[in-house]
Amino acid sequence: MNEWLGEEKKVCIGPHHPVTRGGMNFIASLDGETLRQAIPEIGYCHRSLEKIAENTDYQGFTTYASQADPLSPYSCQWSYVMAVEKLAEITVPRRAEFLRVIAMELNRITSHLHFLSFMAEIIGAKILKAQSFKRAEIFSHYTTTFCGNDNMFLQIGGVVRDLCSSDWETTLIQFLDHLKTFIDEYSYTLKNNYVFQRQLSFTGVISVEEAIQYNLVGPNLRASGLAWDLRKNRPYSIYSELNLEIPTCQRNKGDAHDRVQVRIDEIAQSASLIRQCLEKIPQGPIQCKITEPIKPKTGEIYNCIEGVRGDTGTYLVSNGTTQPHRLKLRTGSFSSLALLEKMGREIPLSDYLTLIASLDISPWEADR
Amino acid sequence: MEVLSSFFLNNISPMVSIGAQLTFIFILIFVIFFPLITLTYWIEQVIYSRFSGIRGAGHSLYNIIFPMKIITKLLQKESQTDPYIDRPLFCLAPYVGFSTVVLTLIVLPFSSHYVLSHSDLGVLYLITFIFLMGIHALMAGWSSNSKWALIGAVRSLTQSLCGITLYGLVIMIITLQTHSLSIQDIIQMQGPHPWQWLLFLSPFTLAAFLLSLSSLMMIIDQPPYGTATSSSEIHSGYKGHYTGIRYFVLTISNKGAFFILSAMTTHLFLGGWQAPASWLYWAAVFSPQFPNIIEMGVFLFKTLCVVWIILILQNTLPPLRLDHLIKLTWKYLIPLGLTALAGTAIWTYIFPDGNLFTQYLLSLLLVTFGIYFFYRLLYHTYLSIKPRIKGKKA
Repeated sequence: MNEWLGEEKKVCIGPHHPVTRGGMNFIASLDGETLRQAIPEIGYCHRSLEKIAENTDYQGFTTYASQADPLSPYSCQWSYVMAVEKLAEITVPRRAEFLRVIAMELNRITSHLHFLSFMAEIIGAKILKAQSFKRAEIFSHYTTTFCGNDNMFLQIGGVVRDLCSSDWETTLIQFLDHLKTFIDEYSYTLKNNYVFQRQLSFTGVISVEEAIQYNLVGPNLRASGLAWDLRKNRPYSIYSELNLEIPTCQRNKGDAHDRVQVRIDEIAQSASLIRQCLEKIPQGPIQCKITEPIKPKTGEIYNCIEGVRGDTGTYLVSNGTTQPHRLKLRTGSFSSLALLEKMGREIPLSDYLTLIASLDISPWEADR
Repeated sequence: MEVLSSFFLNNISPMVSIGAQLTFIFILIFVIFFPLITLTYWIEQVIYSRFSGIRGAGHSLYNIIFPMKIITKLLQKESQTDPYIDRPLFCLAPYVGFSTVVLTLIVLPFSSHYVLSHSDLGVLYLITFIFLMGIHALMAGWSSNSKWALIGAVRSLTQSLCGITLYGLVIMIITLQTHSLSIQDIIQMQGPHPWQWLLFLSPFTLAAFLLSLSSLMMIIDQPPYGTATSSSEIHSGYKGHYTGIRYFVLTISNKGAFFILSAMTTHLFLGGWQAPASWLYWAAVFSPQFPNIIEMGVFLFKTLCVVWIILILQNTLPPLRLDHLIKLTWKYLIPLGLTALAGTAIWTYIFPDGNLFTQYLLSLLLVTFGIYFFYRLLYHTYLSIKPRIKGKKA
């Protein structure tokens, strides 16, 4: 036990710690309750998806692409599918685009609700955690009734399933109304609860310059004060037809509180997008005719969409065969991880855990 | 020491044979302790499931066997011991915690006659064992030979130290007010009616009551004052390496401490088992034991109310961080306690027999607060069931 009696002791936060969500490790030097240094270590969830892509055909990899992040299956899947479509010059039917947006926004709500539940758990508010998780479960249920099995929904050239029934739509809209009251309650707690204020405000402040320097994307970047959203700034699919406002933090601090608040605002935003889509959705086919197997012409493409955790990109190189020559997925979680080593110096242990939780890092997405 | 030894000799010496002593321990644990634990545990589960909106133990009344289910499950599990632990200490720690809790039952009165020992130093005895409640956490954390467990143990000790210091101050305020260290005496000095309780005797005892609630939550390690066994932060702290029956014993010691501290709050501030004299005369008609049972019912009702209030607080508020907790305790709560102590001294000097006007005023304040609280409760219940009513109509 002599090695414990020194000033600092090394502990591992992970790989099985609630804050890591399953597969990350932080090698931390603790001095009492203060964290001197923490080095993130990844690779526990590595499934070599990018290598698998080189050995499957184009349509076959869509299933794998959804596995990049189980919490937001459509981010990588849509990014990949769109890249192939651009390369092979396939035009997607209009109805399919609307269905894709609905699935993506439902998925965004589910993932953000999981995040709210996770954040409440790390702070210790167990009732708020249970309540958020309940809502997330209900939303997963809606997504499953709509999309069927999560990893099969988006296909090259369209989607596999149409909307279930008008009954499903009405219950969904009712539940979106209910969700509005819930997120209002959550943000009320966030604004007015003393303990929330004490633990989240000024914890892990990331300035805009720092965020750009470390290539933060998505809600984390918006919480730092930069209104950058690919759905608005470089519209793809049908987003240019929809009414969309980019939620950024109101207080321009870029702390953990703002990151939670931005995600709460995004839930409301996604709910409004789903409503607009259900109003405007046209009739028509959901899948275009494609010749199997897909053989894009030789060339390369980089395509990015606004996933749940920000800018999700796919770099695809084709050599004219039925299999991709090279594939690279770019995800938001990986760049957030780079920041954690810098931020984890001379702060209390609980603050560091709150910081990790507030960045909404998904280890599966970081490792791929 | 002489006082303490004479206390033991006077009270437990009649039971000299080992058989009698074993029977005594058996009754203490299985007849008194376990039913109380089951009740407390059940209420905790009910309130948690109601608050979080899940179908848990709160779903129906039949789930009163829910704690029994958990207990049976844990008893079946293997008690693992890793090779690198300090085995004797590791195995002993839960039972040390358990015995510190069970032994406090000796002086805890359930009615005017249902008490194992009529001790003149009951409060002192009790606070000694409350002081010892932090020891088993340190034993468990150190012997687990794990850094997270050690951090948890040190946190737990820090936190119990804060709580115990506050509790000592509360006991001092009560003793100054009542000039007695016997729990029965303290109860008998109060009356059955709210304005006769120590809680409403002066503003300072009211402050002491609030302090005792805070210190209670620190000692039993529950939110809003508790992160020592937080599972999302330090892997359940010192409990992290325990499984099976040892984990079960650790859990029920915590629940037992919860019940006993709530019972102490009832005795010290809420008039304990005191029931109106008319009830007792009426009860004595049926059987000489009946008044005691009425008194026990009153005591249990009050205690469970305290348990209920604490559980509502603990389910509503998120926990403070440890350094915030320490700051709060040593910068604000302990000075407040010392002020209340000085205030009580002055109050007893000015009003040796108490001031009836203050007592009425303070109890009226409580009634107002209670009505407001229930109004809010009903309002929110209405809000939560409103969509369901609307849905049925449609």
